[in-house]
Amino acid sequence: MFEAILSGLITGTLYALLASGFALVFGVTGVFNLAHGDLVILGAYVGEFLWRLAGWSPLLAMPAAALPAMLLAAGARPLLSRVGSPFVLRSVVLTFGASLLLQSALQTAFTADFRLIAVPAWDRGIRIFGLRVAAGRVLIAAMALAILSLLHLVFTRTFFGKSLRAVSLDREGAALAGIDPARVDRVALALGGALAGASGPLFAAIHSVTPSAGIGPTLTAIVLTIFGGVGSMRGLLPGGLLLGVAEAVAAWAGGAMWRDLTSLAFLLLLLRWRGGPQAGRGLA
Amino acid sequence: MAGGPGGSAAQREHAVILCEAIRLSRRFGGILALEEVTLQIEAATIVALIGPNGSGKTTLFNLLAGALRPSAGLVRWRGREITAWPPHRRCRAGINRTFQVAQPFLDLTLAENVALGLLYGKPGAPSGRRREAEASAREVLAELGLEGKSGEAARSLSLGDRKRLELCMAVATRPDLLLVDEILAGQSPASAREILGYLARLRAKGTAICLIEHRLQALLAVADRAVALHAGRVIAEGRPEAVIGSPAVLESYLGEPAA
Amino acid sequence: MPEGGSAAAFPPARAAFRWAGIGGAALALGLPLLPGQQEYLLYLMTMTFLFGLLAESWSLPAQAGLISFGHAAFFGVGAYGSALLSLKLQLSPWIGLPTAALLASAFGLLAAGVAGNLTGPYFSLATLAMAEILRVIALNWTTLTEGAWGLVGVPGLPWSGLGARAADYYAALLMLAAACGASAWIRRAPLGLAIQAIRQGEARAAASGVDARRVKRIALAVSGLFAGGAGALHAHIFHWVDPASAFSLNLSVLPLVMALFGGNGYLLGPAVGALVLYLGNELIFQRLAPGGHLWLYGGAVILVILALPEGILGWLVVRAGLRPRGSTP
Repeated sequence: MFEAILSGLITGTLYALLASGFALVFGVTGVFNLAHGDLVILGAYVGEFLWRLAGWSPLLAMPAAALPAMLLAAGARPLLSRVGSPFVLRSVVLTFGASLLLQSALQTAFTADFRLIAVPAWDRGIRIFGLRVAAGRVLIAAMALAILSLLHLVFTRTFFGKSLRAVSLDREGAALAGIDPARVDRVALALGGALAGASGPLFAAIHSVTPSAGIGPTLTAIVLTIFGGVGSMRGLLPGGLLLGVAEAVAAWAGGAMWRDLTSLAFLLLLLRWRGGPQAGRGLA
Repeated sequence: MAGGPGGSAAQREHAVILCEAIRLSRRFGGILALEEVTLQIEAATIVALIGPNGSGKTTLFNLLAGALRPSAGLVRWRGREITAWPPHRRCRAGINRTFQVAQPFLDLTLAENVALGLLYGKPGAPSGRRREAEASAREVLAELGLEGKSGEAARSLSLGDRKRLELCMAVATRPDLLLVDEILAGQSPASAREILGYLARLRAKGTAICLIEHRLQALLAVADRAVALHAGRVIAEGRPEAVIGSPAVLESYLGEPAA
Repeated sequence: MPEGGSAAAFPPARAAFRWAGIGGAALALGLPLLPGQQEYLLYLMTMTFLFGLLAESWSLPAQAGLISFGHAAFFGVGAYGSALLSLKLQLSPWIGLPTAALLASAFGLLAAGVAGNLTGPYFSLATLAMAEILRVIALNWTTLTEGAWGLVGVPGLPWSGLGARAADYYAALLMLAAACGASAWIRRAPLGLAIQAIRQGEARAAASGVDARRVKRIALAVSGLFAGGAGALHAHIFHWVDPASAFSLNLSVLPLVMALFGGNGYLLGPAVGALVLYLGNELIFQRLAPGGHLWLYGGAVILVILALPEGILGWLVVRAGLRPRGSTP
């Protein structure tokens, strides 16, 4: 039980990292990016490739994994201005199409085989509070926490972070205050893509991945983004920890089926709670 | 309590009270937009609702039409409490409203916009069939001179015409109480007269009308009674000339004591 | 069919659309009677009709602004429902199929209850979650569904006097025609007006007396009926159901792509989208890039969103001068 909770906390930290790019992009641009998980999987494949061929550790591979996802996401900016109204709905459908294309590309490039980054040293057990955990999972959680803290600092302490939040709260107002929303969009997309890609190698070190595995991280990101109050970055970590623990305990008590049902039920409840006509956005 | 006399006292005693707001309050976060407002509206009466911007007029409309729920207080309709009824149910019971910013269905034709209200409004439509409803819709549109455009999409209308369409859409639901929110804004004087004439004809048929309007001279011409709101409270009520001329109302508009 | 607008000014183009429709219908009715070996052609057309049925069913709630990402849920309920009724209760498919469709319709009511008041993408996500939940249940409730193995030996349609292929073909055609007929009737009825009004402004529609929740319930129930029918028919055609196919994400993706691609604002848009995309995939695309159907569907969606907002039918209608650019059917 306690081991399940600890493992859930670790997974939950990674969940928060997986969701950060999604929440950022949604908060700033209003795009519900259904291809987010596919960008994570793209990063996962890059990480797996570098590990298999050159023996790079997943941590080392993160910048390399971030790059293609970042370029793809930033490159999508011109497309968004062609999306007609209703924007949110049509942009969802657009990213749905992008998700299908990305899956096809991954399938062509990497085949449909399961891939996993299994670093032998990471399997060594260490003890925390008397509970045994794999060293690699602790590393992953630490890395995720470090990136999330850095993000928090950027959002609260830098001018750039403040302009992101300004645009997410009031696009016209921010423009009047001299912030260029189009530029902020580009940066948010690039950063969101980079975060998705960078979390890929960490994801592949815990889960085996296939080209169609993106739906998992996408759903997780959606759950946490809605949980945090759409667009809120602060809510991601508590939400991730809660979801991670709930899934781990459900799986421990009832088997793997309950892990999936838990997160899906979580999503439905959150939608009913937050998805009514009053749903709004804004990055906090 | 409510009700300075409009018309003679004998008339008011016989008038049917359609709608009552009883100590209605509505809060938005920390702001009290409406505070203990009590109001009665009788059949075949035009009540003018006046007050400066932000005094709570549109909030009161939203509470009466069901678009908002009150934080406290009751709404009664023909003696029944309807505070929790959703808008479509109030519409079918006979309460309807126009929106301050006209929002017709832009991709539907004018006839379709109006036919929707004929088909789904208060029971008793001449026909439940779509084609016949669209034909009757043309008659409603003709009242405000829009019948020539009945086949066009509402998107093609000017803002002034959209407001006229908005009124036609509301009238199509056969309301007994019609809440009209700033319909005259942006209309030419001739067109404003035409709309006011139409409202007077509706009153003659028995419809109660509650009117939010900033053009006070226009109100004097048609209103039977006026209610003045300031900062969410009723500050004066009675004959329109008396309310508009009262010191409290002048003060609320001008922000200083009247000389 | 395109309706309204400046149609009368261009009778030749309008007549061309009409004759294309009549010719297509006649060809569809007569196809199995034509001489020659045509098993594969009949199979292809059966599947086209099946996807057309699914796309038409998807399109009805979509016209009210309810974009479903989980139509596989209805399809799967219909498929499992009819298969179980045949296998466990030995009911004839002629009873099992409509019963299963009604079951999927009831699930539509449930979906409306759970997600009916959600707006925009929140509704879409809720339907996605519901389809996933059903898939996980079908996968794990092994005493009823045999889990990942699925149910095998589902009987085919007992249509004496017709070959199995022709029976499947006519059943699919009949159901597609029924769905289009129901859809056409709704479009002309007050309900169709209410559906369009809700998409354009739910609060305004309520002020005109429209009970939006009720209209959405009806739209989802009718949609569930036809999508469930498609699933049930699929089970009887292939004699087998499993979670991966009955609740496949593809079954949620395809109707959306096909309906938007064909033109969701038009009665036959979804069916035309199914015809072009399914046949295009089977006859052309699969030969060039086997297994790469997602390229086609992904590309089609992106093309529609960025360049053809009203689908290919909308594009054709504007090109033919039946309706001015920018106005909506």
